[in-house]
Amino acid sequence: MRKLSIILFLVYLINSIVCNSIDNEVENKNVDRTIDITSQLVKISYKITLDHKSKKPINNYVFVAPIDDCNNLSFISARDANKKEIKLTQSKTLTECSYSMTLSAGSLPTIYIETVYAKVLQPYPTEIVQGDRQLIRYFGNAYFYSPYKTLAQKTIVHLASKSVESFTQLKPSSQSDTQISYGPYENIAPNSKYEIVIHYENNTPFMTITRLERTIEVSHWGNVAVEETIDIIHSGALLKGSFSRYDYQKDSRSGPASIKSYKTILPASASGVYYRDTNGNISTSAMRVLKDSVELDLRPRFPLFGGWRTHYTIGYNVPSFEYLFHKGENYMLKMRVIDHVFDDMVVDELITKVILPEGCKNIKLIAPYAVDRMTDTLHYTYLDITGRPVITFRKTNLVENHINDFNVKYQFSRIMMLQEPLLVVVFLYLFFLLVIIWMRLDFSIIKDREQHVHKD
Amino acid sequence: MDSMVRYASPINPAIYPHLATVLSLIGILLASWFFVFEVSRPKDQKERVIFKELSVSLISSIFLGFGILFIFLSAGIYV
Repeated sequence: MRKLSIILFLVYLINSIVCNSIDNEVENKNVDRTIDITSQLVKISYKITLDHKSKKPINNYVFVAPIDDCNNLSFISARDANKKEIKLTQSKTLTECSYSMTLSAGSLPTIYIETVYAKVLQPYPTEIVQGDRQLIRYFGNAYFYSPYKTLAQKTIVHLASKSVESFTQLKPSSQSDTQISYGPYENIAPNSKYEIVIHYENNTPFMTITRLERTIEVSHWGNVAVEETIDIIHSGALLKGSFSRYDYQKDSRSGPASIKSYKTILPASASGVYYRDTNGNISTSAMRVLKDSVELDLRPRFPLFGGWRTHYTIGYNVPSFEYLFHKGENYMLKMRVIDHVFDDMVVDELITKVILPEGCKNIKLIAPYAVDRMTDTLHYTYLDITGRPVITFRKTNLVENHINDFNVKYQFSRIMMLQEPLLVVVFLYLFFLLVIIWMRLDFSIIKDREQHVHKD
Repeated sequence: MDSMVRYASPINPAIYPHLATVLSLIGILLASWFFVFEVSRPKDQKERVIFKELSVSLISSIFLGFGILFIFLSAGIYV
């Protein structure tokens, strides 16, 4: 009995702590929500205008995501009225995740929040035949889920196509062309939920990168080599029955949910690009050099249908002066943690490796967001003695918004660059010395034979 | 960060192929001179030639060593 009362007290305590951080006087005066489900991602942007009942300044605001959404939440960012980034502090309970933000005094009480969810859209039916369209279900909330009272709100859902099988009605709601609008709703109590289901056609590529290994090799001879090994799976509706190449070639519209090709964007200075898999070069690709980027049109060896996967390697070189900076012996490499693979991509697991030149010291990694740094290893390649230090880090559940720069700082003395040519010089000189010694040794057998003759 | 400048290679990568050709050509010439000298030298020669051999082979290996490095670099193996 006493145990129970202690637990009850603890629950009450935790509850009160959670509740305390939420000021009941704060209200969402107006919320404009845009839900973009045109691709495989769910991108929700909010424009929230706040109000305080007793007209006091608002210092703290909490944005809450229910636990089901929270696990699929890939990216969240908040901005104030001046488009300045607001720092978010995450806390997680059994039922929800909350992101609390501190608002600077005197700022306009408007907040812009942007969230990106991956793997929320579910194909329904889950299996389709080759020629079928891909139908997708979106489960959402008709109301803005908030711990505060919401006075007025409106939601607009952007769809991938005009064809909608069904959507939940909640008056006033309507569909026009590729849009569904919900609201305006007025005076909604805190933590209100009303589940909506939108069942619509979405043939945009549903591709998940299950694993992306990005290797960045720095050479002080003026080059940075990047290589990406990519595993992709078509994560949309699975293919039911067999695949007919004949039907596929005959009609270009057949297999609307399949992936024929996609675009990868590389840095403008990329050169020596290669695209290959375990069989060798994949020739069905095209490269276009644009003003500010290099565009690769990649076509896998076979079209990707639901549940099919592919694996390939892509690599290129960029000159060091674009990404490497120095002052004396202090160097800093500034490169992207992850780069664009295809539009609206979803990455399950990313491993980025940075291979630095031999003889680097005091290596420091500065990541733009939290990453798991793995143990440093050594990499052996041409003309190495002690091995090159490798910095490895890992992150899961990434989307396009994670494309951002990391910095690696290290110390390196230029004399170490001479180590590689000197290694070859020493090797060759030893060879010449061997020849010189060899020439001074007498291996002739004539004398021996003469001795033998004498013995006989 | 602000005080840092962009890092470029001490040698312009555009001239790597030329360096590779010139350096390794000189290296090969010296090395072949060395081998011709070695095999054509009479066995019972009393003349001191060790310093000549050592110096020619040293210069040859320096040229060849750097030549091989630039062959690597111009081939895209950035060591």
